[in-house]
Amino acid sequence: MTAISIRGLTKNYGRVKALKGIDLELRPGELVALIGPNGAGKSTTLKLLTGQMMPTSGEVFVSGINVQEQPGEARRLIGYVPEEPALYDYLTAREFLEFIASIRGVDGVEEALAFTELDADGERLIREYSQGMRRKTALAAAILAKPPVLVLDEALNGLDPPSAVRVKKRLRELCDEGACVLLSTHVLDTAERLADRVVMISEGAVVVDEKLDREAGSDLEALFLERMPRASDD
Amino acid sequence: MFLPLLATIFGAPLLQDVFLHFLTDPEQIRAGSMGFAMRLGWFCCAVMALRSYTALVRGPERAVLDPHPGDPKLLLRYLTLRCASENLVLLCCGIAMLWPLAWAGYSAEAAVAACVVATGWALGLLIGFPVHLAAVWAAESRALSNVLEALRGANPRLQAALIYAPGVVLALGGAGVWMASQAGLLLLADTPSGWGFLLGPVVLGALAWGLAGPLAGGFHYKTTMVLAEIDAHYARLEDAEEGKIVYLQWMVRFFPQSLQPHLLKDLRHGWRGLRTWVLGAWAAGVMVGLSSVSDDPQAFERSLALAGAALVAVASTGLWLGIRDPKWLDTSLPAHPQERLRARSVAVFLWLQGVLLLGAIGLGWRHGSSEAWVFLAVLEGLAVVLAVGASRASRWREQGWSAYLPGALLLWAGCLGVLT
Repeated sequence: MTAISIRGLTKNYGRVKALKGIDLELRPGELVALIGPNGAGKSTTLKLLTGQMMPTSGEVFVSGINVQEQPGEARRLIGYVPEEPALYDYLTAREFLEFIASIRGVDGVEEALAFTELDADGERLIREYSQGMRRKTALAAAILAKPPVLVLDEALNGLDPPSAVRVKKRLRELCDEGACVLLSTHVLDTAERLADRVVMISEGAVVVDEKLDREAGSDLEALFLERMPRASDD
Repeated sequence: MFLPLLATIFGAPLLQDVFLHFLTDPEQIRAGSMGFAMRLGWFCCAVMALRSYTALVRGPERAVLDPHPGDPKLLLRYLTLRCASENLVLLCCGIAMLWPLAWAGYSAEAAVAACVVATGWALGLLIGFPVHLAAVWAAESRALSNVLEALRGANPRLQAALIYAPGVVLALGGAGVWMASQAGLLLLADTPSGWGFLLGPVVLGALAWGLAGPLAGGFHYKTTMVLAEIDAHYARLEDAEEGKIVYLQWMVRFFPQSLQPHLLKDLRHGWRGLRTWVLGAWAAGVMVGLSSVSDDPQAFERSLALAGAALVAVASTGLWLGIRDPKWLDTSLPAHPQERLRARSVAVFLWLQGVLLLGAIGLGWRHGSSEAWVFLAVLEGLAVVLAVGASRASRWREQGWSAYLPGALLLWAGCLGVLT
């Protein structure tokens, strides 16, 4: 069974066609980078995938569950880190994770804190955290329930370089354990180093969907400039 | 919680001549007390209808918990309890409004009236949650799409269902409060069947809340999708150029140079971020004007009461401006704090004129210029004090509410008490 199946997905905002028919299949164990310029449709795709928005047409399935028809059930299968995560500012990271663990009926707070290396700062109030630490807290919450699908919207932005390296390593380990990770990013280098496959979106359509050979190295920047009309114009 | 309650306890006698005028006529005590309790119950029901909407639909929990879906039924229970506990002060204040009735020796009437007020509060809470969830079902329903299309006005169809939901809560809850007030009259006439009618609406409300669990299972998470559609609809209606226009911007030139940048900043901030309040001042002004256009001898008092309440509400924009100011303004740019607060007072005072001008015109037209001048003189004075008070309280951000709200309510009650 595919982890994520997106079929003929379109989204119109009035006359503006944000997505013009996206088809994607993501398998368990894959780490896929979704890249594209601002306004290309990345965030819209992720919002439709995580059941936060209704498509104009098309369907999204997560582990076989139709996201639009059963958003609650589908979201239980997804660990989602939004671009600007909302957290309870007056809880510590540990308290927040314990709360999320209790409402989802799972354990693993210590493991999640260790995953994101928040153990040392776990007793501080979230309101005192930097942007990077807030993202790490959201990431820790997203992986608590060990979801089969992890969707990260620019989640590596704001992380200091050592943290980013460690989180990337852990994401790969999650994929090796069978999870499917879809990572939206602006940073081509991150996509190039981390992803098995890259999906480029431009003007609401998929313009590149290719496997990357991380061993041999891929020139993602050249591919980006070649396929993205706006980028090459600049 | 205690400050609004204290303000109500001290303010209630000042409002006695407007709201409890029947105390002077023993023949009217029962009907008067039940009529007053019914209106208070309606008010509590309306506030709870909106509060339950905020808790369930637009509350901060949605953004935090949506990525981590738990059992929506448990979440619903938690939201109901939290909404009830956070708004317990409204119930206490509503009941505290009745103490002059008990003080005058009508304790049975006061007790029954308190039950009627509590019925309104409870119905707004209990009916609110299932109705708001059912509104999400209605928003998506193909069977209702034509009805919503006809009702939606300038709003998107999905929004129509959510807009009318608090009205449905008020209609259902209002009927329950009316029934409770009639039951109160029966009880005061020593008719035991009144108990059945008094408790009936709350039992029906509890049964209605029981429907919210299954509805939450189906529609709590769909609500996020509906909200995203509505927000996207409004976002594309926003005209970038229109957004740069600032209401009252032309007034800035008449003020001292030192105030101008701060005044312009607050006018921009208010017009773009608090437009509902700013335009709401004119909507309140229309209501004040309509209430003053009457031959009823109570029209003057009624207009004063309504306009004063609207001033208290709209002047809170001063506080909101402070709450929404970035904190670095205080730390990195602490220069000219007095000018900032003075400019804010001016901005709020200008917005308050919407409430007063239409009321004064209505009074002048129907009751003569002398009443209009008294109305304007008193309420312009109140507007100045409220604008300055709200702006000063905005220095303390969220904590400013504790200073502003009780003070403003007491001032409003004091003005009414002195003038009536």
